[in-house]
Amino acid sequence: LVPVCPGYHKMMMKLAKMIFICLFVSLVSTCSKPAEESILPPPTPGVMDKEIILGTSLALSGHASFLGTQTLCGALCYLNAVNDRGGIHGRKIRLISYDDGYDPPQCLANTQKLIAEDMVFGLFCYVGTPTSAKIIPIIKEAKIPLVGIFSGAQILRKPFIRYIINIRTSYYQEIAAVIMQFVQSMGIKKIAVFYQYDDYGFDGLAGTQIALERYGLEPVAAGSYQRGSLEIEAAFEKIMASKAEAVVMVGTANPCAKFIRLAALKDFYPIFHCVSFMGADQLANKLGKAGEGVIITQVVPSPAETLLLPAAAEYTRFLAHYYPDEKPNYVGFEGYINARVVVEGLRRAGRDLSREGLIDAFEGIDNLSLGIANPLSFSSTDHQGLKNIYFTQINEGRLILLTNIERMITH
Amino acid sequence: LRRLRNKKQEMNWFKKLKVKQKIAMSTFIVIILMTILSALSIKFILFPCLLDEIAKRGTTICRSIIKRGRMHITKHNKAKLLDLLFTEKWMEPNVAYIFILDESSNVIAHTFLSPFPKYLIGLNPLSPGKKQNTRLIETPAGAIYDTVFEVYEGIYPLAIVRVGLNKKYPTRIAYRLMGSLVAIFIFITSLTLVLTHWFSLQITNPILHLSKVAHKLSVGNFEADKSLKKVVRCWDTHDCHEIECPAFNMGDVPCWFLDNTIRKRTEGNAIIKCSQCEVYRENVGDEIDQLMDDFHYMMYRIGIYQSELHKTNDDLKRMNSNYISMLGFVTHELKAPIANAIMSARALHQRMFGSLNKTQDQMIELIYRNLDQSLDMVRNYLDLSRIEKEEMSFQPAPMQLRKDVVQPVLDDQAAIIEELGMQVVNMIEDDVRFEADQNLLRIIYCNLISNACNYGKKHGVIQLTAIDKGDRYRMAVWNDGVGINEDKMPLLFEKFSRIQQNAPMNVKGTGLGLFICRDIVERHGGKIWAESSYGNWISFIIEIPKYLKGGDKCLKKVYS
Repeated sequence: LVPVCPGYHKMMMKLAKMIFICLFVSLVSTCSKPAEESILPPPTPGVMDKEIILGTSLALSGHASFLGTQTLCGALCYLNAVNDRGGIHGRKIRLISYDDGYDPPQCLANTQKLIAEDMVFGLFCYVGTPTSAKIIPIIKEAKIPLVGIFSGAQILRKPFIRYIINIRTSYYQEIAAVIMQFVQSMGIKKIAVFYQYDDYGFDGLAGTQIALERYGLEPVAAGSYQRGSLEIEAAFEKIMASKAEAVVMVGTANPCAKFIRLAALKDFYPIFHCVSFMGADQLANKLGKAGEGVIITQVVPSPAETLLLPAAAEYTRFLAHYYPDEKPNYVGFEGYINARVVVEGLRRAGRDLSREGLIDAFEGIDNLSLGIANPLSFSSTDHQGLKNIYFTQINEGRLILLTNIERMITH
Repeated sequence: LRRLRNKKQEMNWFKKLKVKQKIAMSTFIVIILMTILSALSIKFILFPCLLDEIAKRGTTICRSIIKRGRMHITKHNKAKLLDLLFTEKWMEPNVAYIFILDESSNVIAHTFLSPFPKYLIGLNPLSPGKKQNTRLIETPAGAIYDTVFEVYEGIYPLAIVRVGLNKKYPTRIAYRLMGSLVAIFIFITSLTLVLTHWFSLQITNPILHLSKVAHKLSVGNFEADKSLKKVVRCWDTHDCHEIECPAFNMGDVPCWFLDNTIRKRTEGNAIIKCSQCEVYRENVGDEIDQLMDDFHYMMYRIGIYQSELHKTNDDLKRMNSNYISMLGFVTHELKAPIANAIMSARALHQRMFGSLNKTQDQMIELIYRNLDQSLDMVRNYLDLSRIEKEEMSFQPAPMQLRKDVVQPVLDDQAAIIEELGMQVVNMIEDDVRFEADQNLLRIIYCNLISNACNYGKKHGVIQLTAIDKGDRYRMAVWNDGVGINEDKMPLLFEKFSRIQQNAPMNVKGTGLGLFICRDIVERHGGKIWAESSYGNWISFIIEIPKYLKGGDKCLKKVYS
């Protein structure tokens, strides 16, 4: 109807086309994020013709040294055995280990040294929550696998990080299981928390609060101590005043042992629960008679079950062969299991080894039997290998496995 | 000059665009300009500010590290320093590296996850006397703003803190900002263009429509208002129901609401109107709606006047026709008695009924002459009546001008010519032949020669010519009379017009002769006009085509 000057429509069409192209280009330029670039070492360091170098930083000295040394012994006895049998795909495994004394900055320094100077292929068998938590940004930046951490902290599990492979169950799960027993089976409502004032302790505290919240409860008291110190008196007073029937302990062996002894001295007899990080055997040794009835949750079965569990038998044999001075224990057994998982991963990743390939190999593990009556599985969305929890109790100075928690001995 | 002309042409190009296009184009240009301006402002204002901020940020990080880590630097506590450096690094997403050198340029701690790149140490040297400096350096990982900060212990240098911040980070922010701005502007542009297009259509479509209707009006098409296609809802107050207004689009049906002609209903003094009647609505809608309403109303009015005019016209035509019929009837009835009277007068004059004395003879002659003039007048009126009633017969046939037309007329008029002592010079050749109605041509020549006699000088000369002009003949009747003034020319061929200048007082006329001549000439597809030199001569010129093109029909058409 409207008379239009010739060429106007053509012009408008061209304009419309131009607008669309501009729109598209600008949208693409706004949406697409350029790949993050950083100063990175060349691909696949630490993989030599005859050798794979792994690194670890753990507490070999100081108050947490039992955990570090036992983990390392457990892991090394299996690695040595593998190396003696010819290694994996023709390569022997060399583990560089540094002592961090359970000190996060030192762990950070060690990790940087392992990655930047020693050029390790992967990280393995770290011990402790605060130390491991400290290096998470480095793991993400360097895209280096970190396998088998002796920590059940949630921060290592959520949010999901591709390069962290957790084998043991989380503290949340340990505490949730024990709280369920306390509240549902034993009808205990007054539960207190004794925790180490750092990432590890906070994780345990949060785990307890979450577990109790399910039953509409909250901790009646929460007391803490500083990492590396033995000043637990204030926390003790607070928890005793709350008349707690059970105490969840998220700390290391020495302060916890002191706490339990102090409670016995003051005629305060709640049920004590310690998470697996405690080092059950060490705690039992330290407490002696005072430790009777203390419940310790374990993430690996007892290494003493050499008849039932082939892995326990092998661990005991290897340890006796390579470290005749050491006795089998839960911590060492976990180190041994970690080493077995790493070796399985490296074996599956093949001769043409890369960090991404190793992670893919781990994610391919499904229902792997390790000989601990507890199969191991990973997936691309779940890097939590084991799911079982074992209840143990100190009985006459020894750890016994509780098959029925209701028969728990109470004071 | 050329530039001016080019500019003018450009202006013309813009002028040629429709209003709609002009609006769209100006909006588009404004938005494009705004986009470019904002992009430029980002590029030249925001971007340098961001870079400046980055440089300052480097210094801030250095100060923070020194404040918190001086003791660790002194003690060379590598673990604590590393903790500090990594914490700072992870707090700022665009930190590329941080490292600390001791006084002899050995690295105490760094945040690289690869072997420390030693070349960095020498890249940003401090000039003497300066404690800090920021410089853009190029590394394999890209451009980096490197800040160097020297730490002192007393007056001696203790260490150097270096912080590298990626340049690509602010660049990326700026480009992303620019990109999103452009996207937003383009979105706004498209939206505005669509809206403008819609809005300008709202304006231009009605105007275009109105201008079309106005154009139709300007060429006399008064039916155009129907194309406005307005349906006006009316309320029939008599029968109490809604109807389509029967009057609004039809000029010949009066709107009883508008004109109050029929079915006028009143309550007290107030006339009952349709509440929705568009005839009465005022100031409803926007300016364009009002314009449409006014235009529509105007059309309605014009329609009414038009129909009234038609009616009056028809009345006038009918009256005229009656008058012409009467004229024809009267003149027709008069013609026979006058002719009889003339014959009787002539018989008396020729002594057929005995001799007459001189006085009687003069009287008879006077009677005869007056009757003759009356007959002329009657003939003229009869011709006029025929012309008006379109009853004049037109039968063209090949004829010879001199023999069939001019000579008979001259013979008829011989008596009066002789009496007036006029000298007729007939220069028409015998071979002037063409197709025409010779009876009608005779009327022409009769009128023109009669005029020449009546208005010419006594003993004057009448000259008749016919010239071949190719496809037509040009015939002229010239005489040496007084002629007429130039300004009187247009009146010459009008009905009942008599140019009364210097005419002999005894000359009586109807003022119809030349009108009839023109009619006849035009009927032949020709032209007639007069040329004159006032006081000296006058010449009536007729041009008639040799062949009647298109036949009778065409001529009738021309005539009607």
